[in-house]
Amino acid sequence: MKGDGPGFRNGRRSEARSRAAATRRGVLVPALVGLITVAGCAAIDHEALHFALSKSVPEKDATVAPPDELRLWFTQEPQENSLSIRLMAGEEPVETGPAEEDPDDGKVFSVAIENALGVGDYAIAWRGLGQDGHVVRGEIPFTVAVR
Amino acid sequence: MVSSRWLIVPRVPETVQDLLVDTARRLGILASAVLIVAMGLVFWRQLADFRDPFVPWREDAGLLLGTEWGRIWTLGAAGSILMPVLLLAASPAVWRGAVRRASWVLATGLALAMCAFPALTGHASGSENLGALLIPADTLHVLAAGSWIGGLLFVLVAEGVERRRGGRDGSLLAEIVPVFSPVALVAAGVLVATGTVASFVHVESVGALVSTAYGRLLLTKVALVLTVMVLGAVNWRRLTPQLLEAGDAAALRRNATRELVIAQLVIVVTALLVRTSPVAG
Repeated sequence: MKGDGPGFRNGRRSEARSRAAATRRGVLVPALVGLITVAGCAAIDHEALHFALSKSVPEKDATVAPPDELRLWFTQEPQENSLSIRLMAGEEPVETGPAEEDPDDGKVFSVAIENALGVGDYAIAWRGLGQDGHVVRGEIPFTVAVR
Repeated sequence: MVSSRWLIVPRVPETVQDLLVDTARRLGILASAVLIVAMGLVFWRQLADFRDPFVPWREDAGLLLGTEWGRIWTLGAAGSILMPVLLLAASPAVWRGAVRRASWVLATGLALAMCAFPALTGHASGSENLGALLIPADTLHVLAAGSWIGGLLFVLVAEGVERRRGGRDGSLLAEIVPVFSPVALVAAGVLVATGTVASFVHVESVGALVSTAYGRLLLTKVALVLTVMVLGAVNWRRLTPQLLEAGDAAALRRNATRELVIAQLVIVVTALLVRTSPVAG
């Protein structure tokens, strides 16, 4: 029987070896790629991936003296022309200057308050378009008290 | 449809190629019409979200169009209008020879560019550092989904056209399915790989899979995709050999239709997913 000779057995062994190597490659390569992906993704700063408010002056629910300006810090730069910051007294908007981008940091915006605010409750209503295309908006209520 | 035009049609017998090219073209025109409506709805929805009640609608629309999102949307809308024009020009009744082929080539280039629209206006663009990874991954994801699900629709519609033409015995499945299967397999692999990368980046933790709306939608999508894959595997491993050996096209037709219906649910869930922020709350 030709097929039972040593050459045949060697052929079978080398075929089995190359099949096992292919299986190892088939498992190891995706596993390695998966590990690198997981390790890389674990290091991602998820907050920086999305447009959101990180800080404001006045702060949320703060009681402050009449401010000269409103200043907002975001987690990333909003899309150009998309940011709106409006000061509200109840349902009515209060006249302010336009939202100005900080020349040193594109994630910081301020609005000048031209006329001193009277005592009472106010809210900063802001809206912006994140780099991911999501429209994000929020409200920061605060109270102005006598200095 | 353009991927079916180039990946499937050239590999089937010449006798059915004209019928398939025309089916791909007509389906492409229909899909483009749906795309034009969809682009209008996308803009309307974004404008409604963007709305500032203290400025006129027209001013808000102008502001939105001036953003990066607005500029890419304008290009996408122009592309969706140009697409049916190119596919109409690819009709044998309008042009012949080189112009017809050029129309197909331009439509293909346009379709490839349009695959980048969700990546350039969505989550993939959220990070400057990861954009180089996520934008190509998302674009490939859309291309693979179109090649698989669009290809499946193409196969079933072409089969319907052939059956109407040739009566109940008419079937093209034995010619098309062996060519479509490798395309679907590669597309499924690309979908899983690119989807996994995007999931790792966008989902903050394993807990976020259940604690955020984005995570729950993602799990729903994964469950539906697995169902589609199981149906696809049954088509490939069991029903296609049955078709080729015994000529039984009915079972494959039924199962492929189920696969297509569930794939539409995947697309609906994906539409919700791209509108949902991955961040909790």
